[in-house]
Amino acid sequence: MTSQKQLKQLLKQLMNEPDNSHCVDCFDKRPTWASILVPPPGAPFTEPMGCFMCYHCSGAHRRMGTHICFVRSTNLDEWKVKEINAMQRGGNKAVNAFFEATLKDKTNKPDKNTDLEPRSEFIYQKYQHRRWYDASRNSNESPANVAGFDPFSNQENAFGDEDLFANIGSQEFASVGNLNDTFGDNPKSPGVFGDFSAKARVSLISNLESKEFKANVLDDIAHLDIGDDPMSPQPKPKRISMRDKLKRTSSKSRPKRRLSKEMEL
Amino acid sequence: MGAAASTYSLFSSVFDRLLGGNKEYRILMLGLDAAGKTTLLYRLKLGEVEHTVPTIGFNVEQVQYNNKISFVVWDVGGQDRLRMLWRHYYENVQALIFVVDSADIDRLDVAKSELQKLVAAEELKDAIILIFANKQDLPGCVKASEMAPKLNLPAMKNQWFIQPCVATDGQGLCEGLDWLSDALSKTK
Repeated sequence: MTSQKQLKQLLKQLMNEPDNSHCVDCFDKRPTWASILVPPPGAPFTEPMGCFMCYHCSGAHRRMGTHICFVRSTNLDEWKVKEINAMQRGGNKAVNAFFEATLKDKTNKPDKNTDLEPRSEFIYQKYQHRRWYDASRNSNESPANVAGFDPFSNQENAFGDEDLFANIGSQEFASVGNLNDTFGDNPKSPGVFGDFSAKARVSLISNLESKEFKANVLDDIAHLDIGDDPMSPQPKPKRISMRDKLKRTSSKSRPKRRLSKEMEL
Repeated sequence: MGAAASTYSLFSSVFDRLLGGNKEYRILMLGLDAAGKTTLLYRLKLGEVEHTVPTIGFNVEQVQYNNKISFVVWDVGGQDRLRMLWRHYYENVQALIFVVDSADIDRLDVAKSELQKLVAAEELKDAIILIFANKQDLPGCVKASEMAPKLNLPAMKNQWFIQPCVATDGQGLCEGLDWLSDALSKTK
């Protein structure tokens, strides 16, 4: 039986490999989150494979649902043997060899400063719509180097609109970033729900700041090897401006979510 | 004296109903990581979907519902090793919202055991429990009616209700909060 400590040791070794030292999506340094990808339909690999990514990219991975991938923190979660195996099978190089096989201009990728919205769009395109996926072109380590195997020969038809993402190039990323800066912090009260005054918020939070509360918690977190302070409030998520909303609705690159016709109890 | 007391309680209950907004409930929202707690919180608070990242600490928001009831909702991170911190938030909680990813079938057992730990806690023995069976739009999700036995809800002593929902587009959230407001207003 492999202990959690041993598994984390194995994980650390994988994280120290040069290929895994940057986020698989935005190339930020020293990623501490992992995504275990379910093999897409028709993939030459049948077991899940994992990659390492940064905190900000992990949010978009989680949103796609567990039928696409399962997200774990390398320090806040307990790991299972099969999850470590998935990381060993995959790794950032192998995963990108599949999921960015046809992505010619890597400068289109988000970087560590890209806003959450365009960053998420890229991630949905990459893993959910598999826009740049090509199972026949992959790294030597992966099991798919089978001669004549080309399950995605009609990939272009399958994904339709080819310039769908072509016009979200690096310039577009930059301009979306600027738009967010200009319009993102425009807190228009949504009306129906009351606004929580800053004062009330501070008073609530100051309760938590009490020495007693912190002391109770310190015992628990002392042995957690985490960078962020788990007892501090989360930074508030960025509001989506109306302009961004329009932009988002007009692009066809949203994750496909099937609306249930009826929700039975 | 008895008459005076009952007159007072009648008066105060009428008064409460008229000025229902004064009543503020403390609600704790828990569930496994990636269940959709933060998305749900900001959907309730702002009526829109946010690009969320995993919650390492907590989020807290006051949500005014139907102009008559006010919830202070605490949303606490759900990663494995953060769950040991949940107990620090139990105190003075009137209701628990437990969010489950209905498409994460592999971890329904984990969700069940976490919920069982919660209801076993002394501080939560009187808490009203609303279970949101979230992500009903995802392929292969479990319906709320099938989820109830999988989470062993019928064996729970607490007052509970399970509501299917899609936090990203708001489906089912009002129904859940309606039940919660109703159940809370019937408590002392």
